[in-house]
Amino acid sequence: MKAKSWLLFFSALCAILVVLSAVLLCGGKRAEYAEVYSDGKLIVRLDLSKDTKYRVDFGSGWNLLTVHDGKIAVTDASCATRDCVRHAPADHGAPIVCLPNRLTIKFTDSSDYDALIG
Amino acid sequence: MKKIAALMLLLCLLLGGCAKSGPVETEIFAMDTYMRIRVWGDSGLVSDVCDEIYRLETLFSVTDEKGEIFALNRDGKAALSAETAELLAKAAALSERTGGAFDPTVYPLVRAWGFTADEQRVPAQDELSALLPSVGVEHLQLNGTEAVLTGGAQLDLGGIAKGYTAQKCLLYLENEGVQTAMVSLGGNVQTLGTKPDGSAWVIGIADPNEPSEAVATLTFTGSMALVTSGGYQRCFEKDGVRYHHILDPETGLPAGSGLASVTVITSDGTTADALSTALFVMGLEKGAEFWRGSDDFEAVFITQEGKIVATEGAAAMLGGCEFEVLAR
Repeated sequence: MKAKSWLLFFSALCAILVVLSAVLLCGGKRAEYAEVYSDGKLIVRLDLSKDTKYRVDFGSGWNLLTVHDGKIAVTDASCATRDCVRHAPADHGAPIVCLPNRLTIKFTDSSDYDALIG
Repeated sequence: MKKIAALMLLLCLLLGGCAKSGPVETEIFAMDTYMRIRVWGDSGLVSDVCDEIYRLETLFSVTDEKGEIFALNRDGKAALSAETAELLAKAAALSERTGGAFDPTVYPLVRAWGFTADEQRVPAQDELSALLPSVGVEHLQLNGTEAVLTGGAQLDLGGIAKGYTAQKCLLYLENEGVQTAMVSLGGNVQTLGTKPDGSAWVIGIADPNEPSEAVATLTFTGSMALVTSGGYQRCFEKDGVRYHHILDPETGLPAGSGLASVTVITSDGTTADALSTALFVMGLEKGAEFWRGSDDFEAVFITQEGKIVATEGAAAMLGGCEFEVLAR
């Protein structure tokens, strides 16, 4: 009888672990946070559930980040090319990059693939 | 009791199996792009790879005064390192192989369009016509490590240098005993070996209309080089017209071949890089013919209308999208 209880206990534990692993490994597609890096150094993590504006100032320029409706976008920037501003608001996927300002916005739980080419 | 012991053992094995011996990873900005390096090995090797990328960036840069290509463009001749000479020889060979669709001598055109200095403009047709005679790999003469440029030609290795760099980095890691690694240098991804857990590499192909999203995935195991060339990667708008950075060496204009992107899959990063540019310039029809005449690469074409066309070998790896298959 005692052995049966142990058996049940471990079965339940295994089931919980399997479910937990699935949740952790697969995750939701939409990220909860956007991490903003300047030249590889994390400068802020923004909660994508809260609408906000955040200005990142560098010695030589700046980027204005806007979080709205669960997505983040670079809405203004000092760089000449402004490719980052043209990037659509995003909540997952490949990082948003501003090459001239060496700014990277990464999503914390969004990697369905090892790398994105293009 | 034995059952309990067996279950506990199974649990330990499960948990042990889940324990990650993850890669060492870093990100850098070099060669005017964002790069990620992942190595299943010593962190010092990642640092070595970064140093190697920075060193090659200097050698191949058209704007760095310490670089060999800068010197060659400025003086019309230069004594090169073995690596630069090797890359130029490969560039020349790939240019000839692609009938000039890939051409390392497009720098005068690239400069006229302002892509190097990020001061994009639309050059007048007269200006382009005056520059076109200086474009062509026949203007590059290589004698061992001595290089000479004739007819006002200047080099831009932007269409091949990242592929060569990825190849060199993985070669270095392999020689250091690393069994698994991946470098992602802008539109170039190259893998070494198979992941320690045996799972496949899954590489997303960027959606030309939404480049932060994958429009399809390529799944494979082992070492592979994958390079995408797309008109969306660097472009600007002027008077409502969009101009991109992949120039047709024949016309001096952004290649208008009807493609939004081309992804090349092969074993050699240098070849993949140059061929992705060449196929983009050629377009789907000529590109398909070129593939049929080759046996060393596969490709995924995405047309401007969003149609995905994969060569037979690429189709076997492609997922997450509708596509047509090109037969030999």
